[in-house]
Amino acid sequence: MKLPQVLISFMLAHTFMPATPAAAQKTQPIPETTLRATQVARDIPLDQSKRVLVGPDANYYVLDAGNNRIVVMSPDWKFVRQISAAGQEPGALFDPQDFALDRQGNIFVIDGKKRLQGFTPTGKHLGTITYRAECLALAVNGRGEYLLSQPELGALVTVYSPSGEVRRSFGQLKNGEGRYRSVANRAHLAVTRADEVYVSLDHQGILQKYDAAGRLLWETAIPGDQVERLRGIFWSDDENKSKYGVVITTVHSRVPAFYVAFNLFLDDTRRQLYVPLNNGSIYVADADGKPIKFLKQPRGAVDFYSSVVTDKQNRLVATSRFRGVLLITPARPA
Amino acid sequence: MAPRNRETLIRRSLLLSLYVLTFAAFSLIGHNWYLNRSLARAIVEANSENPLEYGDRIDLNALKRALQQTGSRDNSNPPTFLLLYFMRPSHFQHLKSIKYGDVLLRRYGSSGLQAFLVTDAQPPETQDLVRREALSMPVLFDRDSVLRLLLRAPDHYEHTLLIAPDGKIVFSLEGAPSEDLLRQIVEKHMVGVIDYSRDHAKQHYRVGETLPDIRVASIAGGIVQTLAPRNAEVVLISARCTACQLHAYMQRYRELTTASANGKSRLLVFSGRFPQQELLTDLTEGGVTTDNVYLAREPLGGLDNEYRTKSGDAELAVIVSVDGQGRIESVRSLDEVE
Repeated sequence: MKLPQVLISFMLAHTFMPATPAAAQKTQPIPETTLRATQVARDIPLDQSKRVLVGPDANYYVLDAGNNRIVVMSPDWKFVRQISAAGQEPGALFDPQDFALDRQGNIFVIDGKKRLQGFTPTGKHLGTITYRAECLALAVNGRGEYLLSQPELGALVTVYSPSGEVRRSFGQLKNGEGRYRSVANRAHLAVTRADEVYVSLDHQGILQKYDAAGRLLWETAIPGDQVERLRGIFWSDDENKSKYGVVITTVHSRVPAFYVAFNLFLDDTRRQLYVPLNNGSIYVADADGKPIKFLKQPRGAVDFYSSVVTDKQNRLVATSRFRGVLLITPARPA
Repeated sequence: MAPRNRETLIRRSLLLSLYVLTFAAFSLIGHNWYLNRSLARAIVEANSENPLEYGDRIDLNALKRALQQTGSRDNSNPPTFLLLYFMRPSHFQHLKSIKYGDVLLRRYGSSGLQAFLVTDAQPPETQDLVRREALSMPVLFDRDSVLRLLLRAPDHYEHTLLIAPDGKIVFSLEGAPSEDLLRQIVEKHMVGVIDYSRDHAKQHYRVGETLPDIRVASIAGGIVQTLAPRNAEVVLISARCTACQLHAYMQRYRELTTASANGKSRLLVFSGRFPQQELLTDLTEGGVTTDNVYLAREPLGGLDNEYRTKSGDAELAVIVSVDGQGRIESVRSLDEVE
């Protein structure tokens, strides 16, 4: 696409782009810290790591999506075991999308066969439930319910019982028309100890908090010009958005969708939210959605963090599409 | 022998031959009729809106018959794993995966894998594709949709199946899977173990050793030449995710082709798995000077592996610095953020 076309595309996008929540309009300078990312666990082959979580056993659980498995590694980055492997049979994973841990450390994975499968921390298959709408993210609450992001069903979050029946849904879809409506409302989820739910809209850069009954408590847009630019790319009609960052086109939707935010992590102890963005930075907010800082990559560095987590030693750990697991530290004091 | 007796003998022999031929013809017709009938019955039984799933089973006799009807000359015994790609030549988005079927066939053909491309496209159209993409996998012309109906593939002919020797479906997918996913599935079912190991380019390019010559072509096209760099920095770029690597790293490629390399010339060599035209267009549009940019015409050590497409290049790309004699002075990862 030629430069004038890009400019027109951006102008159109900004003219017709849906309004973001009011909080985003009153942008104030947000502190920025340059980060340093050091690859760890280099001897463990990982491909397209999508999410890292820390289990009750203090081990890291990494969704090694390209290898269709979950890799468990110790706090000193040693291989402990793998859970599942590629396949379409029960207990195997096929194009896994996301996973969650419950409070006992059991593992729940959703995959490209529209299956939610449970495993014990040692990898024993607990069972499978199937669902019908596309789902790219899930969370598990304290009642053992599964929260799935399935905007195709008409709400941001659909709640399934432990045996797989739909119990309720909540969260109004925002913006987007036709088949773009479902795509625009894909979200990542995080659940607090009190079963409140944080929602991060992947393609709109909006954060929301719901109470345990599914009532919206607040909503805010991730601030900053750069995030606004990412939103503009998602809403633009540019045919080749992958020039600007990561785009997802699922077989189900066949809509190329530019990410604004890849994931969401709630540090429930320190009451902080971490959102890795499609410009390689990580947005940090407090539990009420107020901005704290951006963690930015040094100039010239190129990486996208698919997820972040804080571990029991208060270290910030990220997964990268190509580089596996990374330890994130400040390059210089904020 | 009297002439009369000889005539009688000849007449009787002819009559006997006629009986035998008639019997043989009826047997053949009857056998074919029976087989066609059993195939038709299998197709009727297969008639379902739902595609075959893992664990479903196929009537092996009907499958063999359908394969023969569509042109398979295979009579292998014992039965083998069967990889079937349903496609039309217009499904160019699946070509990468289908070409990988050739790689699997080369590796596992002798240990019991058969792979076929199944299409309802007219043979000249398919032959064009086969020639253009240098496919070695046999093509089955499913003129009457016998295979598609038997195996419950969608009528748009975009489906991939892996069938075990006992007729059990072990993999079924609308469309075509990624190369590495298919490798994992085939390894799991045929070898019993999935290989997760990974090569490291740094193990292939060691300081003090001479950088091997690399066969390349200019990304603008042209003849294949041998690159034997001296007093240069050679950036070797893998192709784990050609589209994302191309776009996400554009600024870096621009910097690499414009910034100085401590008095050394700098050459960019992309893995031969990058699509040439897309690479050229994107680099040009991205403002990258393409004078010293090449496309490898052979696997780049440690970065490219035609079988384990995601296994190489833990580093994505490496910068190999060579001295005036072509000896390696240093090997650095391009994507290491320090």
